[in-house]
Amino acid sequence: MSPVYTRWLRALMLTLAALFAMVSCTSNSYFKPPETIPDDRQKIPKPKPVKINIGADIIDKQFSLQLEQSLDLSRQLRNITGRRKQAMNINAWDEVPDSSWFTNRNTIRQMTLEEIVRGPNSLDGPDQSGVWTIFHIKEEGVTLGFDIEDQRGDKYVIKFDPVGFSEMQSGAEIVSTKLFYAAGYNVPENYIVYFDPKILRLGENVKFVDNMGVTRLMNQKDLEEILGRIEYRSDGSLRTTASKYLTNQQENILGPFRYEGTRNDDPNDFIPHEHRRELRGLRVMAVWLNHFDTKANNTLDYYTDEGYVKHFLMDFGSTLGSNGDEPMPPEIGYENSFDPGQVLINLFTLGFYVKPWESPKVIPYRSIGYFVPDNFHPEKYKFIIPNPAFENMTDRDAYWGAKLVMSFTDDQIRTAVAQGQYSEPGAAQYLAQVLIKRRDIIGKYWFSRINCLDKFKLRETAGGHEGQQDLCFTDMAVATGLENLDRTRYRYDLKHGTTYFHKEKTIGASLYIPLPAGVMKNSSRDDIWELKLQLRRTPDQKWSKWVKIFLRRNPDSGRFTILGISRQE
Amino acid sequence: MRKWFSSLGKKVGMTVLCLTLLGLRQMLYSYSSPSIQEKKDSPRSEQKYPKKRKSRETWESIVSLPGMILFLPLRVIFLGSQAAATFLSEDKSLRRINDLLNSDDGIRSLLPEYSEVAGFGMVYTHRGLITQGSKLKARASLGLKFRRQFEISMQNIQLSQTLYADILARYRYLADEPFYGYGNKSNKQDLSFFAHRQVTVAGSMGFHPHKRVSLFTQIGYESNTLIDTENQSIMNAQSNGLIPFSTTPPVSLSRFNLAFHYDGKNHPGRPTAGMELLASGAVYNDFREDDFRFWKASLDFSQYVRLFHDRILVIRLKGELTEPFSNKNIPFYYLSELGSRETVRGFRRGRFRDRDMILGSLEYRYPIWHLFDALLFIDAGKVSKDIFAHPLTKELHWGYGGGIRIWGDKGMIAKIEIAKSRDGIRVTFVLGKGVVG
Repeated sequence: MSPVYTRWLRALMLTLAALFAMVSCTSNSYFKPPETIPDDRQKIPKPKPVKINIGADIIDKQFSLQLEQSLDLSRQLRNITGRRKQAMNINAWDEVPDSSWFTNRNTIRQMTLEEIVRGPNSLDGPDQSGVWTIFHIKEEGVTLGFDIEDQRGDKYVIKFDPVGFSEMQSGAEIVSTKLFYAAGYNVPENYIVYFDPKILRLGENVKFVDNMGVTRLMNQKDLEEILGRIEYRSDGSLRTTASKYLTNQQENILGPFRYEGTRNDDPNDFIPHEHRRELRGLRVMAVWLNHFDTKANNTLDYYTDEGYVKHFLMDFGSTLGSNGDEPMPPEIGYENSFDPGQVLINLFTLGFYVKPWESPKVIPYRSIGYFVPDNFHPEKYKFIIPNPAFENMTDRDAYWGAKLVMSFTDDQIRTAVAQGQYSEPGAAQYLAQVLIKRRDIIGKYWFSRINCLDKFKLRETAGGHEGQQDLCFTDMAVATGLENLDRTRYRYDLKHGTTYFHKEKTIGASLYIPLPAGVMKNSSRDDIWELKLQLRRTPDQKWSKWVKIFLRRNPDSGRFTILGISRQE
Repeated sequence: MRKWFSSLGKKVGMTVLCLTLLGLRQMLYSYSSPSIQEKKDSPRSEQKYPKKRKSRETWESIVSLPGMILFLPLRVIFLGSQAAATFLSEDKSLRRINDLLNSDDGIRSLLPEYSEVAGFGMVYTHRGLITQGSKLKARASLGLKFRRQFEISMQNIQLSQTLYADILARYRYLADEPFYGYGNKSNKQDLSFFAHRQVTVAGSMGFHPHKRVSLFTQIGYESNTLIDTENQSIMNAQSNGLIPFSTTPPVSLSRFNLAFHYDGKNHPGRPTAGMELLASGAVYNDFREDDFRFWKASLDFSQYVRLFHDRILVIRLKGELTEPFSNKNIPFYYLSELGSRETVRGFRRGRFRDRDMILGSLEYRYPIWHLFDALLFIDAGKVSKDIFAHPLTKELHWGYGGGIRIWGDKGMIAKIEIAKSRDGIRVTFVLGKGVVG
């Protein structure tokens, strides 16, 4: 090799080594408090509405983004070194503060069953005492529906179940709404409504595309023809989901949000969406509820009366076992809508590779559609198109998402499912059972990928010296019934500066650690202590990844306060 | 093959250029518009808002720079594609034209098609014109060297519950029909071309005793004219007595056809089980010069076998006999042929011609994506003066290859195949109707 090439090669190697070191050194061995997240609900001038074309979005996410990410050396370097970029809107507790995107609900305080039932709803659905005036025909999406205005002047989108699969779409919409809301996301008010079709009135200037492909004004006969395509109940009524307009002022609807970048005209939107923890962690919730259609067009921003933009998830008719107008196809979750990698695998394996979803499937309940717990691998789940936020999800984000999922008790799930008002015998029990099974699979997977000790707090040591404190913690896997406390062992290191107070001290099945008491001499204002905790479930298992709790001791009182935590990826 | 790739290359090049221009426009638009907007009514000037955080840190931007430079041209093309997708889905004039030509109720439709014989074309269908199930079809196709085909037909005119009638009129001019000579041993080097003009008028009557079974009879008139009568290869074959025919005057033939069709396939577009059988017999008579009189009989059988999980094996057997009546002849373009996508793929259409033909084919299909199946096939066949004079498996011509087919609920939408034979590699593409399903 010529000396010139050798010199270049050396320079390249040195650069790569330096970069490697740079990335690797961003370790969590000392406590660096994250930046404070400002409130993103400040008053701003109204941003301009946006539209996202579905076809263009598919090209962008499926091809452009994938190629761009493959050529992004810094991203690849992070992947190789295992130092993936962490979410930017987390606090010292590795949690997400409340914002215009997310409100901590069931994870911080278990919601009552009444709260689960009510969900985001502020009313009891559209007013049925008078007529419903149809002012728009729903042409987007796959389900048949109208936009109506009730006697109170509230506007709703009403959607109907596909013929032969009564209650499927409407049930999925309501159950998912309740669960997404309880998890903390902003969702619209969705209701199941049984109504007499006679209260429907055709408004003025309602246009639609007729069978001949001509856009024209709709007449009563057209409406009757459309209503004739809907499955009626035995009493002559219709079942529908009524989704309340976020606002009656259409000009305040700003269109969907993207799962990457920020809006230029919204100064409150200062964190790139792909680096928002609640959007990254949404992946785990979406996997649980089979919400595969998480493209941008199933979201909505709206400008609130308070003068800021609030971000909503929409359209859950294609979740659980429902794909809107048909049961969920079995390949959903296994492949993107167009999955070049999978197509190539299929092509070159000459059909001998049989995918798990290819074996014959049975739909157990027509009102549920196709929703089964078998072959469910939460980490491998694929969405309709690649989602930039989901693709940036780290194990810490996933753990946060898994905590949302695991926060639901069996009773809460059964209560949410009951809101689907399934009349088919056994259907509701079946759906709840599948959701519970999928919840546990998600918990088992993500809680084992990362140290799942959480909810750290200090308490006075019972019967100890005055001022002596214990650090208490919760083992999330034990607390949610996935693991047994008796067979779990914990160990910790307690470090003060460079001095170990305890090193690899093993404790049995107890969920607290006594902290040293008394005032130390020469202690300064920056008296930072580091407690590193690990666990293992069986004696032959390796110790888990660590979680570090950073404590500050008051030099006057000798009492500890928790500064924050750091979790190993 | 080289030509095909060269023409394809030009088309792809043009498309990429268009998308690049669109992408550049999009890029300029997206980079300029927001900043202008921001300057005009930036909310930052009125109140202190948090600083927007960057997706990448400075070191990440520096490290990623080479990759991003490499990606830039592709980014422009992708932006162009996105702009094109947005325009196509949101532009109302395109949607209106589509709505006008393809009605939601299925009464009118205009669809593209491509076949090796006629080239690219459009088929307009209007349903329910005379009777409820009838279809008026108008087809116009254009191919290389101005080969062209115009066809109008009225199909499926319901006469009673089980009786229906069809009427067809077709003109076609096939400018460069290949001629390799005569017999099973014709040479690739002997290729020459002739132009064939054909006018067909036919009427048929069908009987549907069962939804899967149909019997039909057809009476037709076919006028054939060979334009290039000085074709040396054809002249030689004629002077050697291999092809007894006269090329100068048009050959006008009457045709009487009787056929039986059983369609036991479980799906028209993607059959995974069942069988299909077409047996037909036809008598041709030269009613002007009385030079030609012959009969043709054929049997085409396909069996679809599901191996496992929608992996399908298609077994196909076909035989065809073409025999003259005493002292009469057969125009060489009515002889049985071997070659093309419907017989031994890998050979050109009309590669082998003789009175009789047999064909066997195995095709393995497996799904690769929603409506896309990949396929692997092997074909074997031969032509002969008397197919029963020698063992059927002797002197077979072989072809093998693979391809991808796209299917829909009503039939196959498109198919591309690459086949290899001793003549070399051939790529065939079919769009729309006319492919053995």
